[in-house]
Amino acid sequence: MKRIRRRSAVTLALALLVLFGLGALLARLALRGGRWAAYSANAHVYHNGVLACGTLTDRNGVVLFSARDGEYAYAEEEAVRFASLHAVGDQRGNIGSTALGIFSGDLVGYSPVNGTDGTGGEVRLSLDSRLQAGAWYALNGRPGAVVVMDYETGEILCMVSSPAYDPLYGQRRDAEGMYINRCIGGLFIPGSIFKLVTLTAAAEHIPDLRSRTFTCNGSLELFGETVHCTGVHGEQTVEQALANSCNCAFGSIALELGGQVIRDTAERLGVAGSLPWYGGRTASGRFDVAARGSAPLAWSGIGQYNDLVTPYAMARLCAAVAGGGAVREGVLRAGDTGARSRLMDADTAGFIGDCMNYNVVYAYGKNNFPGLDLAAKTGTAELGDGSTHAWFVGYLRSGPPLAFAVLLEQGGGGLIAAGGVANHVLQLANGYYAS
Amino acid sequence: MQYSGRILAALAAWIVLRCARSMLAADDAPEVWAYLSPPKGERIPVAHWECLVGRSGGADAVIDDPAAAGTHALLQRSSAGGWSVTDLSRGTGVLLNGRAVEGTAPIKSGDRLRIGKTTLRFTAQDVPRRDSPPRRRPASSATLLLLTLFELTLLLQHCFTAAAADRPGIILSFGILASLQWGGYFIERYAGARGFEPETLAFLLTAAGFSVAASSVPENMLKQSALFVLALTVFFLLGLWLRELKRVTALRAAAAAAAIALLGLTLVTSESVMGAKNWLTVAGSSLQPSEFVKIAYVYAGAASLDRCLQMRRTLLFTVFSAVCVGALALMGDFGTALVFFTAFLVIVFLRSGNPLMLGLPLAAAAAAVALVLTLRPYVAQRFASWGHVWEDPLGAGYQQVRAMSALASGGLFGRGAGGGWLTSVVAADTDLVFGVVCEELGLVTGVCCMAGVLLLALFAWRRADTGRSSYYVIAACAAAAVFLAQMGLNVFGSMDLLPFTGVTFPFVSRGGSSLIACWGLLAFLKAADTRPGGSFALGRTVASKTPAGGGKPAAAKSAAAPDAKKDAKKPAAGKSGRSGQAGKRAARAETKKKGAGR
Repeated sequence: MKRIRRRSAVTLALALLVLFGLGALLARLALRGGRWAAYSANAHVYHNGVLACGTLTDRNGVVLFSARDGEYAYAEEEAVRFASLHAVGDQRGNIGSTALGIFSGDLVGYSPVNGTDGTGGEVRLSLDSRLQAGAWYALNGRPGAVVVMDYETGEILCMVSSPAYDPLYGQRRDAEGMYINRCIGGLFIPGSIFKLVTLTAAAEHIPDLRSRTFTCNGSLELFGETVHCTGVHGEQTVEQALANSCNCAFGSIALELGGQVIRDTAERLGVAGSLPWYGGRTASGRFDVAARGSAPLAWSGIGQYNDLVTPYAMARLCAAVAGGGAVREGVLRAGDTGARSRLMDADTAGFIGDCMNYNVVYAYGKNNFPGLDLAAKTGTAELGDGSTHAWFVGYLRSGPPLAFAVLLEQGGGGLIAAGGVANHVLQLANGYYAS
Repeated sequence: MQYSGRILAALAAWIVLRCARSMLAADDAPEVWAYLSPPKGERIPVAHWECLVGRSGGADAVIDDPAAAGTHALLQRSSAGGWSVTDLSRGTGVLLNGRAVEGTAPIKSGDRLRIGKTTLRFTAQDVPRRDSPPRRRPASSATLLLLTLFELTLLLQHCFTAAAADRPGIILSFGILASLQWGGYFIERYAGARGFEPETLAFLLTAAGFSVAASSVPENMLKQSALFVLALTVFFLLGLWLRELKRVTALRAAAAAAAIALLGLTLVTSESVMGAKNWLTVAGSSLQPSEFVKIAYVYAGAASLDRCLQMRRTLLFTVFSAVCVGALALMGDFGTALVFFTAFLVIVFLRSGNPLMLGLPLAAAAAAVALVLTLRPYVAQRFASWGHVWEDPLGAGYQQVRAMSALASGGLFGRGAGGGWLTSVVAADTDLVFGVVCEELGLVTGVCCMAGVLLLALFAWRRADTGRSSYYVIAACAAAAVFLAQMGLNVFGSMDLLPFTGVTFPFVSRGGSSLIACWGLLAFLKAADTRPGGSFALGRTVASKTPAGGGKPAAAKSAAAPDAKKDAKKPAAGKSGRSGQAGKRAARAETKKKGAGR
């Protein structure tokens, strides 16, 4: 019996094994309970897969979304509701990558003690509802996107995608891509704003770039194909070429660099390929490498050919230029600071920034942006059917540390259309954040 | 209602703690059934029905004699009271009253046993003696009162959430549960058995199971109650049956045969349900025979010490186990096969103590697993999703992901009985039952349920010190192993710490077969419980005649047991947990006998 008694410790060992498992389970629960509870099957906090509790406010405490026991409420101001639809999300759950999804873990109001009792949590977003509304009014119903971010922290102050619907009433009219957040999920031909990428590659690979001159005769002949320019710019420095948005100059720079160099640069800058966005990724920008010496290569260097970018990637690129070559990745929660990534060296960033400021001073007109110390680039992307996307991207060199990208789909000329929207939003921001 | 979750958690924790304090308290002095008195030095107590005599430290009665073998002889008591001695010396031999013992010979009080160069006088005790009074334990009735409050709180929560049409059934079933637990308690108490903690824990788990059933299939509560009555009946009948070791061991082969027959029948006739061919439909209700086989398996697998010493019998048991596990694997019920395999390993290790005996079956099992994974791809799929369920929450990880989410959403105190959503997921009330309990009743109550099963296992281990026969010890440990394996696979499988195999949580998972099997296995634990006045499943020697029960019967026996007078004066009587009732009845019985003598 003594032997059996000793051997019976095997039962004790088995019990200890189970106890160990219980410990592992409790440890996992402590670490990941919030994520488990935030799963959309949890009917205590989701109704049909949509969050049914929690509050999202803008950075100043203005309520953008709130839910309790399946009752939903949104911003009081109609324009804010429209403007924030894509960034915030709504009770229908048709839009992807919204704050509602991103912060569901906090919004379900999980606590290890009470689990998810339906009270919900509150998250203060980095968005400024005043800028949201301003951008929405400036877009004035035209399809497009506005992204404004703080380049010192990465906080996104404005993220508006049009068309949108009022989340209070749901979608009432059909519009193509209503459910897409154009800022991060839309891909658009960049046109001349892509010259910032080509210029970056040139600054890094052509040592005498800044002392060179480029001659523009109004077009570039390549194997029987013609690359047209916006005018006849004659002899010009690279700064002047960027301010003129000269296709001949940037076409020949692209030919000199070769497609692979530009592609590598575009990928490093986050313009080609996708960017991480809260556990998911943004739409993947595109840059195809065309044959050496060909017209498509020249076109690809000036943002045509098969080039596609997202507005967010362009705002981020401008934020990197503003930040001396390093960028804080975009964040949507007030007070958060994005991870730091270096896209280019400080010298290159300084040069690009000076060129962008030169654009404003000598080409776009400072009077069009009163009171703003602006560095920017316009883009008028040809779609091939005669219409053009209007782009305006850049940053404020002094005043509030903001970088931005504005897109108007088939919106006409970059400076007039997109520049106007950008000016409107930036004037508001400059007023609110002057100190 | 707001605080009912907290009340529930507090009650569950309190119940478990009270039971733990009582079940894991320091041991009472062991029962002494006989003495071996050497010519010089202290007499050696024989504290079990089976006693190895020899020189080695592993012997129960150690004799300091270089001429004796390590394990020289086996003393064995039959439940009728007679003793026998078996020569295990392989050569030197055992002399009984000067004559060599060939094989096994009967031995009685006063006989002289010569082992090596030592002569021992054998004195049997008609009644087991204890060298110290029984310890005080927390009152079972108070714990049971807490349990009743626990059930009442559950019932209140259910009345709050359940549909009006289901309420009467739920109330009635909880009423049946509470009355049966009190009924069981008073019956056992009347029989002189006060160690009600294992039952209390099982009732706690069953109450949690009733709550799950009331949430999941409220219209079926009466069926659940009926099955519970059946389970409790099996528990008491099996417990009573286990009292007499002789009749128990006589039916071991029959139990083994029944197990194989039942599994064979299932294999031939059953319908496949969710990939496992383990359901049998009898008279309109479906059974899971593999659950009943668990009882038969433990029954047939446990062995008294003389059989443990025969390697041939252990090998035979291995073959029997291979048939059972193989049949379960053929049915596709791999979870249950794993439970049986765990029980097998525990039993074989207890019987042989030989790690080598485990090596071959383990290797064979590994080969079988490899074979299964190639032949049954859906099992491989379960293994493939193991640890990655969140990557496929709508496919292979569907159930686990939901169980984990529900568990977290319940917090410490739950969303209230009947207030959960996990019950709408397939097999929530069986395979995902831990998630349901934690979601509705809270993590504290869920962990208390696990602690309850762990306590039962620790109890089985503790009782190994004083079990009368190795049969009872092995059976209790095997039953505990089944409980632990099932709970481990159920909880950790549904929480993605182990592959999801779909076995039941003992006592809690809904299902009549499983409930009956669990209560049946609990009887084995009761049979190993030799605490004074503890268990109804012990032979009547203790239930009516322990010296602790009162002075008179012990004094009456003083002629047979020379030291009994001394014991009778000890202050055990009257004060202890196992005081009045049984002792008085025993005394009455003695008086009657005397009267009849005159």
